[in-house]
Amino acid sequence: MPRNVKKWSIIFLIASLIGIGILAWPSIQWMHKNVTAISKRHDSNMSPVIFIPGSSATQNRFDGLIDKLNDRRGKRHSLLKVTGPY
Amino acid sequence: MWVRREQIIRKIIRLQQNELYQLVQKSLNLLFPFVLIGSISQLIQITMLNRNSLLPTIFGFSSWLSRYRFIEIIFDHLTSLTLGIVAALAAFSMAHYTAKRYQRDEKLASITGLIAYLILTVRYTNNGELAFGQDMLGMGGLFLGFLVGYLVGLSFKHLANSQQQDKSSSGVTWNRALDSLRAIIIVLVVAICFSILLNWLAISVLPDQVILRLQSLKANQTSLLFSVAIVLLAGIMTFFGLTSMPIPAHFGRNGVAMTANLNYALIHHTIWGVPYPFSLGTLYESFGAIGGTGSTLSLVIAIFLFSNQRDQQLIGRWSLLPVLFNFNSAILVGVPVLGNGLYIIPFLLVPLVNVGIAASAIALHLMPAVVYQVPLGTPSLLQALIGTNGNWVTLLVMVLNVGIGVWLYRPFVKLSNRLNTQGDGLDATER
Repeated sequence: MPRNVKKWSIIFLIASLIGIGILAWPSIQWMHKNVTAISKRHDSNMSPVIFIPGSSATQNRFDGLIDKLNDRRGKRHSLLKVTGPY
Repeated sequence: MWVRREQIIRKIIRLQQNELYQLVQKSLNLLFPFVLIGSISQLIQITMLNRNSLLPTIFGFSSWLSRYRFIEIIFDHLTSLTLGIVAALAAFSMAHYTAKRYQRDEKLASITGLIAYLILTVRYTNNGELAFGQDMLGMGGLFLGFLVGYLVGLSFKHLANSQQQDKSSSGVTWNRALDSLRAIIIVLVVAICFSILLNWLAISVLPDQVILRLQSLKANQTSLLFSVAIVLLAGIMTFFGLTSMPIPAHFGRNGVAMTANLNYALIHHTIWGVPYPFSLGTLYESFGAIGGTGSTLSLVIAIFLFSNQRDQQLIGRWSLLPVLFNFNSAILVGVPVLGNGLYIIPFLLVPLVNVGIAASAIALHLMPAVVYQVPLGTPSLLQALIGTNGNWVTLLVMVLNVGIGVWLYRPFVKLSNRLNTQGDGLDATER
């Protein structure tokens, strides 16, 4: 077998390894971002409860209930009222 | 030591002179181009065209890919029609060489082998569509393909008349078909009976399911012993062409142990000290299968460094890129490694040693366990680095693992060189 064959195999191997080495940096940067995202999602583990009033009720339909819920618990729940267009 | 090596050489030479063994090796040789094309197409599809894989994700062309999904589908189908039907092709080539060996009509035998195997994999559905069991057609069905091909060849030996070298007749000779007709009919009828039986029992004859079932048991996932046993089992089954899991991606990743580890990491904001550091998911994919089952990246590098055979070097070069991304079917069929007595020892040993090194490094707190899910199409050398969110020690362990793998494969590659020159000598004297 000519020596060239082996030489070119090794050159090809080194070139491929360099290619993969170049990939390492951007993929780690991406993984850092990814892990930050999943841990944020994990830490802010909220379970929203959605109340939908009947058609003739106003935004304030559930105020009494929410007051009661907040009363029992020391901490106040976050609340978002959304009214759609008619 | 030297004497023992001589004994091993003699044993391997005896094995290589075995008729059935030669038939299998010749058939594998015939399959190589299709397996190679299938692997390269699989590589392109999974690393560059799948929108969830590493390259599109980090270079941000995922959304572009989801608009042009047909490009991926082209490569997907190319893979299915080459690598995906390799067992049927194995039946084809094995029937060919077996019939040729017994001087029967090898062309008719090979077609019969192919059809018989396809019949075996047919799934009878109620709406009458022609459907095949894909798991039996791919790499996992290789053993079965060779078995069916061999049996078809033997049926031709016993049921068909020997091929007449009648060159006087002009044009088509109908005798040829008539000579083999009995064998063809009997083979196909038997194949249909078996196919009906398989459909009726609704069983898979492949042992893949055993591994998957074993590893889904919660108690099993956590211990080092179990991981080592599964690594060994996967190696043995791949070696004999009994499993379709050359991509260990869907293997050991989404188990109870891995979920527990991930939860731990998210709660404690550290990946050190996870509850199950020695599970399959932390050890096998990242360290036990560098370059696919059998740690074949080490084999390819060993071939580059130590093989004196031009064809081995070229096969290694063609297989290198797929192997770097864990698709090792091409090198397994090309060298060939599958069923090759020469390579069974390192093929089973290297992954075990690699897993052992990784487990000790984790036990000694040199590196954390691999916890995070690695995207599809990640090069095997970067798996641990990415899976630990950038711990550079894992890369050192990886390099050490590959180096030790090369060192363990080296004597066998050199042995292959020696057998090759001796074989040439043998051929020369025979001629």
